[in-house]
Amino acid sequence: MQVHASVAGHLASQLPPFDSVFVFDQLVCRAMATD
Amino acid sequence: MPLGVLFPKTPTDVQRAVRFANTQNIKICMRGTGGAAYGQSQVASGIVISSSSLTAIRWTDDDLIDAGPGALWKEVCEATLSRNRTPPVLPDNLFISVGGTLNAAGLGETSYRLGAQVDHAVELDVVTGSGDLTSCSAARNAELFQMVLAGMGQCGIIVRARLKLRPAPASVIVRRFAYEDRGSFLADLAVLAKAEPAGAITGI
Repeated sequence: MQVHASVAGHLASQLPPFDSVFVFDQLVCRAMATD
Repeated sequence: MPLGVLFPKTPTDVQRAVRFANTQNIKICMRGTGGAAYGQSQVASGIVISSSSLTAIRWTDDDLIDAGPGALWKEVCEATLSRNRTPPVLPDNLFISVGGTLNAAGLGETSYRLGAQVDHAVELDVVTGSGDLTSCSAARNAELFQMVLAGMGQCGIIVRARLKLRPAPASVIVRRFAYEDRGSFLADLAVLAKAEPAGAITGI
């Protein structure tokens, strides 16, 4: 989980500007991991 | 689990996400209501693009409507029935998204006569794997159009779909028949499938 968080942190620092919402919240990400 | 989730307001942001994912060498996937049968709307350690923020529905003609990929079929029905029109084919579950069923063909109770939902999509806006936004139809960029429809989300991201409509019936009659033997059920089903006027048939 710590490694995962650091990867997400790296991703966040590289993100281009969006006109929309980009969410890293673990609860949202977990909800997107089920069908 | 994905690293992050984008809720795009515009196709341009979908393009940005695709191009960013390419530069970072990470996977992305588009997700509607999460009803995929084989996990196509999930991506581990990648970016999920939620279509739930692309839900606009717009009339373009009396028999054509533009829908965002995240629009639910229920919302499409509400819009089209207000003008006495309906999509020719509807999924059994109306709480799934336009983009989702167009990626999987989209079958329903009228498919036995009218085909799949993809047969009634006439134009798409697609974000390609390189991040380009391209309009396609049977007449323009036809190969992309054919590959994306029922492409299981592997050939591009649908950000707008133009859907053909037909007149909605003024009323319907619902009949239920119970069968105890399969032979009679299938024989009657064959008769109903050829009966006029054509209706919607389902068998459980």
